Amino acid sequence: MFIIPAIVYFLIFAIYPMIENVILTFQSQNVSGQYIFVGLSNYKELFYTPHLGKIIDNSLIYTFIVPFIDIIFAIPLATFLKRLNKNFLLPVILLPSFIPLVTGATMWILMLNPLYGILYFVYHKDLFYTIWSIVIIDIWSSLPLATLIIYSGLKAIPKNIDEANNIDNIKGMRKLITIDIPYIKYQILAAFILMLVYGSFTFDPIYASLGVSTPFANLDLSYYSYELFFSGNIGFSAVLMTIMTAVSTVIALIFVKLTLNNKMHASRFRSIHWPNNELPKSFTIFFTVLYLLFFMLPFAWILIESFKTYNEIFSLPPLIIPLKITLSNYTYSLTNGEPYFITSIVVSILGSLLALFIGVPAAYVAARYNVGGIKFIGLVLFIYSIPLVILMIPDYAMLNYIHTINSWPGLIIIYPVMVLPIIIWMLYNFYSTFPKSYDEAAQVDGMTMFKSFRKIILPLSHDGILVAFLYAFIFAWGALIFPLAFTYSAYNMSVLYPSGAQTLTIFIGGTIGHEATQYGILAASSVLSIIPAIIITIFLRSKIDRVWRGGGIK
Amino acid sequence: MILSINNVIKKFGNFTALEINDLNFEEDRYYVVLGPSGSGKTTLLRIIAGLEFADAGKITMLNNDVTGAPAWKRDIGLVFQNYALYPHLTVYENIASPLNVMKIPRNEVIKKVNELLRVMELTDQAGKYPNQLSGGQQQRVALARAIIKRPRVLLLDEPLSNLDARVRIELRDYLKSIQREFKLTVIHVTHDPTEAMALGNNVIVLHHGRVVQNSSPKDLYNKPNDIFCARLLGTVNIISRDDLKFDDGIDYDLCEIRPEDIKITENGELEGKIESVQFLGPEILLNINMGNYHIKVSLDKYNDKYYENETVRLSFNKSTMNFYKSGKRLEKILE
Repeated sequence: MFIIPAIVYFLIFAIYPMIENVILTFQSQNVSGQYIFVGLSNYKELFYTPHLGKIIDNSLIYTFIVPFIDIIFAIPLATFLKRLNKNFLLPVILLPSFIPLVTGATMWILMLNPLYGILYFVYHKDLFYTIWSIVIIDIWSSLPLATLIIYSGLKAIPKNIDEANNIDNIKGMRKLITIDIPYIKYQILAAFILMLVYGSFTFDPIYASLGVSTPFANLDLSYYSYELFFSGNIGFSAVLMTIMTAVSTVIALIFVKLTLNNKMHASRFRSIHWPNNELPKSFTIFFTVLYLLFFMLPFAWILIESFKTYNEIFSLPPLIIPLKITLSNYTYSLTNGEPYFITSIVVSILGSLLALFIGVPAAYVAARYNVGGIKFIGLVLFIYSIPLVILMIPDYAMLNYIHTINSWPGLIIIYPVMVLPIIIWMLYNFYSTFPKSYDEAAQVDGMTMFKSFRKIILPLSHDGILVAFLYAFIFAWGALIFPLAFTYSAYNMSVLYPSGAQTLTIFIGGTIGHEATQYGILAASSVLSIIPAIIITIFLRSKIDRVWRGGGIK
Repeated sequence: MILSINNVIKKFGNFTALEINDLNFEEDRYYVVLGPSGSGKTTLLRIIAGLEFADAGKITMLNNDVTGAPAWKRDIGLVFQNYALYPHLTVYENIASPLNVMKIPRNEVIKKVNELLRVMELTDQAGKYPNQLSGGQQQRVALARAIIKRPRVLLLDEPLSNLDARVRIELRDYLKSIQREFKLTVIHVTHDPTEAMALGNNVIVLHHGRVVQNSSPKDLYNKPNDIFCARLLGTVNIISRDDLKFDDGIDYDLCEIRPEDIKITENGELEGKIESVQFLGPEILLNINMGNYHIKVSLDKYNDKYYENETVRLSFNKSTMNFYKSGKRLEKILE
């Protein structure tokens, strides 16, 4: 009974849409809006779309280059973090992953502007005419997560193994390759696949950079299918989404399998004589600072930009330190952005709470009584790893059916698709280590399962639930695709007749982001949008890597 | 002397974990470090291994000062409590890993490992992974990895505590035979008194980070330095002077006698009532109410003619009694 709401929710909002997509591929809308069967004609469009080759190339670059570079850079960074053993570094490094992706992209757009950004001092070409700007943004925002997964793997290596290495005099590169990497091979693979999902699903940076990039330079399948949906070509859009569903299902199944069994296999690295010297500590610090610079520079630049006057922003060469500090950008952003801020706060909190309401009991019975077993957890991880864009068309139809398009309730109902898997997975791991004796004692005392859950389990697990809530909130706060697809106007500030539900991410990425000259306001809004992420990251700092370690990957 | 520890102090914050004035280890002997948890025994082992470093003092190994030397520069092998085998390597690769780091020709490594596998009776398991082995086999692999470099000193950190009782007794003999075969100096840390008595040439008792006794197991049992050591091994009767007084010019406050040194005889000088009879297999343990205090008496298993509530007379074997003044044992004994 505890688990049924979660399963029903998933079936309605995630599994049914995937099936509905397949049906839509054989249909087309006629003039009066009705769906008619058209056979394979939607599939024929695959061969007549001129830019499709370019779009597929781009998708492949995002899908494979991004995770590959991520892993190559994440392993040394995680090793440095473990060696330096400074607790404050982890939350700082994680920040890029925790802020809204649209904001991250905006930061890079401002920084990489060839005339008015920092790029001016290095390079005078516009990177946004190429795909590489998006690749850099993808890496910047996903590398922290890959690092966190690998770092938590490294931290989970028993202390005795490190000591045994010390006694056997195995260290440096040799230790990393022959001992550590085989030991955390599974985390590395999990990180790689998670990054694969992340890269294949690149959407937000493309949306945010629409105003500055050339057409089709960085478009990928997920963005293109959104465009098709938006322009009314539902059938062909569904074809692309079905293809993505198939590909991501394969990836997701590998991910689920990996997450649920953890086996050791032989390593083939041993016969080579790897250098057995520890890198000098100064090198470690030097490289860590380089990484920090990469992660932090966009933050610094956007903070500077947000205090500049209009004239200073467009001065040549760019001003590193503004001469006159102005707050007008912030006041403009707060007054004009007010409906967006309100919507984001309300929808993120209520959406996450709804997900908690469905997810906590499900996670509890799944972990404690093995209800649903491995299949339920597999389903949760599967939904976690599919791109949200593929659910767009059928979910739109459903929200439309209950008249909640462009309203708060619509977004609140749909947000759990995005955050429920995270909540269930985190709390599943939390409850797996929760002492059984509490609710056994409660049952001996004569409480029903429901009563013991409410009176004993919930009060005892409030900190685990809080962590899951904050984590969910961060994701909901940065959401772009759902608000973009299901809303079309800003909140009208009316209490009695509310309408409109565009979020802060749309305000930043679209409303002002697509206008070319509002850089100061854009910067100020971005700064405002990352404040919740900073607060939550600071609050979670000591819990972050424990939360991820608990379940092996998250 | 192969290893000596002088004036070593180790603190964790304000807590002094270890304070050792002078402790020496001879070649080819089996030392057991015995103490309850928190007594500093693991800290001592880790300082010898070079996994922790002392705050003050000096550690000498074969006349070399190794106080600040890293673990791998010391002539030691270490077996961890949970073995710390590399899970992704086979038994063979695990044992070979210390040699692979040194620049030793490949065929020599193979020869050495195979020889040790044979001695340790692990040849059949060479291709398996640690998680495919039983606890006892894992322990032997860990032992093999620790001695493949032929160290002079072998350190064992609670090596038998994760094993079930039967395997533990088997491995006890095995540890001793390995020590003899390779003429090792073994330093074995444990909290199990039976293990200490069974294995040690010497038992070193630690209490609150200090050495309170360093002697043969026999002396530890018969002539404990203080009440703490007396209580450590087996059952013991400790009776205060107020309850039982011997006027032989000894100034003491507690006296101690082992249950097997008390006889039940017709003409015993003390009288008591049997409160309980416990049949323990090799022995029978009587708990006797002496009025103000209780005494435990051990009889052999054939002596089963006593029953609860029976009144008996006891006679003490006085030459085996020890007397204590403020916790420390007095040299004087009764004639």
